[in-house]
Amino acid sequence: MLRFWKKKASPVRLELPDEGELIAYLDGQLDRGRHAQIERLLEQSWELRVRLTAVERDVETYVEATSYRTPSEIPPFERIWKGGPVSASSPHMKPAIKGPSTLLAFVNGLSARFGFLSAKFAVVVAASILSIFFLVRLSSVSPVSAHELLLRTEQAEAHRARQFLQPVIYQKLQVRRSPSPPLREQSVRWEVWWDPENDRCRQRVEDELGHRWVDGEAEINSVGNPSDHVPSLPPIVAELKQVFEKNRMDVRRPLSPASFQSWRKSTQSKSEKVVEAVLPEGDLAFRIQTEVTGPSSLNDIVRADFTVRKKDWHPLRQLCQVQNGTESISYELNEIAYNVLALKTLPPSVFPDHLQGPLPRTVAPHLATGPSGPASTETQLALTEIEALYAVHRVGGCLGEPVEILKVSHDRVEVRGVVATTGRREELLAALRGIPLLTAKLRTIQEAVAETSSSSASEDEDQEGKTAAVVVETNRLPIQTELEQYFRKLTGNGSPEPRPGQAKAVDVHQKVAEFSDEATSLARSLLAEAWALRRLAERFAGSSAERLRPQSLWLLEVMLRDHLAGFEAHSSQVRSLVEPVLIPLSEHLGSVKSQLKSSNLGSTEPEEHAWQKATLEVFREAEQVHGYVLSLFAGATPSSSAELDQGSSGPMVSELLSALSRLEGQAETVQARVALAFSERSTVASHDRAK
Amino acid sequence: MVNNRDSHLALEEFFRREYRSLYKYVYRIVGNPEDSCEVLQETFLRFFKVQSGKRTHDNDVALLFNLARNLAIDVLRKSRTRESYEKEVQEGKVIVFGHSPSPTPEQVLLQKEREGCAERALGLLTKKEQECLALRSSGLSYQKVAAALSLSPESIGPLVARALRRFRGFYVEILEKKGQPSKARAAGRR
Repeated sequence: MLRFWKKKASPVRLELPDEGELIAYLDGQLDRGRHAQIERLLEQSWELRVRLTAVERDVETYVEATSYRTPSEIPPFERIWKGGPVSASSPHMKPAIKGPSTLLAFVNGLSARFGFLSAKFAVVVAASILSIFFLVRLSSVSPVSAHELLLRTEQAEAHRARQFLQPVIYQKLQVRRSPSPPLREQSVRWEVWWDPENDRCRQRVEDELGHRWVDGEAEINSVGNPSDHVPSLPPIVAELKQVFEKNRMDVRRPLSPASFQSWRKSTQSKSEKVVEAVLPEGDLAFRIQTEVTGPSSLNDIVRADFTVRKKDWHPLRQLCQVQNGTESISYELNEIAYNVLALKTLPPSVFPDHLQGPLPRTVAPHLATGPSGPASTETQLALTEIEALYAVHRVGGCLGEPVEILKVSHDRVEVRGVVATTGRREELLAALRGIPLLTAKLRTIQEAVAETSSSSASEDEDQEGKTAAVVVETNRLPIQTELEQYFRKLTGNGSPEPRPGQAKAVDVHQKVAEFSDEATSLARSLLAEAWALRRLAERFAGSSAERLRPQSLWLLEVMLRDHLAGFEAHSSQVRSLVEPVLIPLSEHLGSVKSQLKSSNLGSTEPEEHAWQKATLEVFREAEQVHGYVLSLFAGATPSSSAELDQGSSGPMVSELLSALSRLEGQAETVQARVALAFSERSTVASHDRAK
Repeated sequence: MVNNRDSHLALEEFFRREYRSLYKYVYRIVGNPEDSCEVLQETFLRFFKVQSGKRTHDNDVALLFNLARNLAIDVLRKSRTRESYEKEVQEGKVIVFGHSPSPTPEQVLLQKEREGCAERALGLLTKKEQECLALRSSGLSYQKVAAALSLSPESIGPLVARALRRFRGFYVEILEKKGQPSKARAAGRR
């Protein structure tokens, strides 16, 4: 009866998918209804999202580990079929016999004809012929054929793409048109995100009118149709598109070996050569120079030049000379930036639907194309800001690195900061690449020092004097004796006095030093996570989080969850490290326990902006823990009133222990409030969408 | 009975449709493009002989893939005996797959070891799990995978999920035993 009632009471309850269904969901093998159900469940359930991430990780590991079993390219069907299965059975369809087999056949032939001794002679002759052949080949002028060069370039590109489960190839190009006078030279920047798995692309252009998206094939194909919405393609790209179409090149991948090869194959009569060249930065390169010798019509490419860097077989430049009536126009494509990224690490604005599948888009795809009002700019700016925060978060830039993200004007967000190395700067820039309305000003420490030293050389001299005056005190730690006693006991040497050999004493000192290092380092990490949480809480204080779009909310939630997980891990590490040492030392253990009991009772009633408040409380507690740890284990000067109790270290030890136990409860409170806040909002968001 | 020309065209269309998946599948077994092409030609030929004059049917996918698998294993056996091959892979003496433009010797060594680990982890899965993963990675739908393995389509999702989880577990364990950093395990947080 009860079972029956339960069934009647919740007729529309959604069943949580198991792993098998989740993988089928990822592979797109579920029917539309179930797919949509799982998407709704994913929006509502953090636990399910975590399970999905685990399944994705399994897939990723398998794909990456067995990537060597995936063909870099698939030969065209016609190569296998060649007109039908009957001809496929004929001997000429078998792959060509390779070099060693030919040689072997030659040797066998001679051996059969002239006997064993002649066979030996034949081997020598064959080896000599081969050596001569290789010598001649090596000394020949053309080091590589155009076909081989393009093939290698394609293979290298496929190899780079194989590093990712769902790769997206990003290219930023400078396009220049240089016609003969009176037309003026024009140039434009063209960014392309190419998603080979889903066979789609997204493009963005930048010229004197600013940045704007060219929405993939749809908009590219709408060029020249005045009835459509305002074409966002600059004239130079529109022209180039027509040229590409006429010459069987791929406008979605303007600078690619496949596109160039396609044109090359379509030309009947041509003269071609491959020459070596040196790039401005000193690298060697190959240039394929192709000239069409036959008749040409309007928009035909009559001459092309394709440059490939030798060290990694990467295309850098393409020059096309196009027939335009009696004269010709040159289009030059130079690569400015290139990267292969995983689809899911892309900012949502690139492929707005890749996070949510077939659901309605939460971000307008034409944000910058039409006349945008202040509201849409503000929304876009908020999205840019959170995407930048998330990008920096993904590469760990929010954990103590001096990098900040600011709205510098009504239409621009800026990432500023100082990083340790150029490598780190590149990493951050790569993570930020592709986010619209964003500029990055990142300097390395060396650059920052060079700037300041050149501007204030005289100040340095004063500073030098000041620096010299700093005296490094080698004080003992407040609980040095207690720690030494503890480690002596632990190593089985109960005597307080060092033994004649002194080895044990040195050992104990070293253990104390190691222990202190570990404690301070863990406390630093804990504080870094707390700072990251605090920054998010302050940035999205009040009602600003409520105004975020669902996609931005998702990113914010992911960041908060990540930091909370890190915070809890570090907090429990600090606790498990220091508690065994400090509890025996604490004279006020009873009070600690009583505080522990009272502190764990965090308020559970839902408040307005509760997670932000709870986060700030957690930060204060973490700051205290950090202070106590530094005072006790690094001999730092105490700052708070509780720490200033100079009589003994006992109160400080008790305070640290109680703060640590309070932290655990508070972190749980924040977690609960985050869960409450975000599940409510995602429900609201999904309701809104449903309406 | 359909006429010869129609049958021929229908088979060509069928092969063309399945070609990419079949190529990927065969490549996963034989590991190089030349042998893959050879196996595919032979597969099409044999399939043609068997099916000539009949209408193509969805269940033919199972036949096609089974035929290709058997031929691919034959090719592999011809090139070297299976036992010595597996032994060499286990000992990390050979890499049979993978083409890199110009890797450094260290990269080659590391890649070789990782491929050996992946082979060993795959070897620890059941035959059905291995088959299922290979067919899925070739881009086949679960319906077709089910047909090729004579299973119900509903059982494919759980089978794939279990195989992937088990593979990851074995792979990480083997890598760690070899003292190699395991990205799979480190990918916990970000």
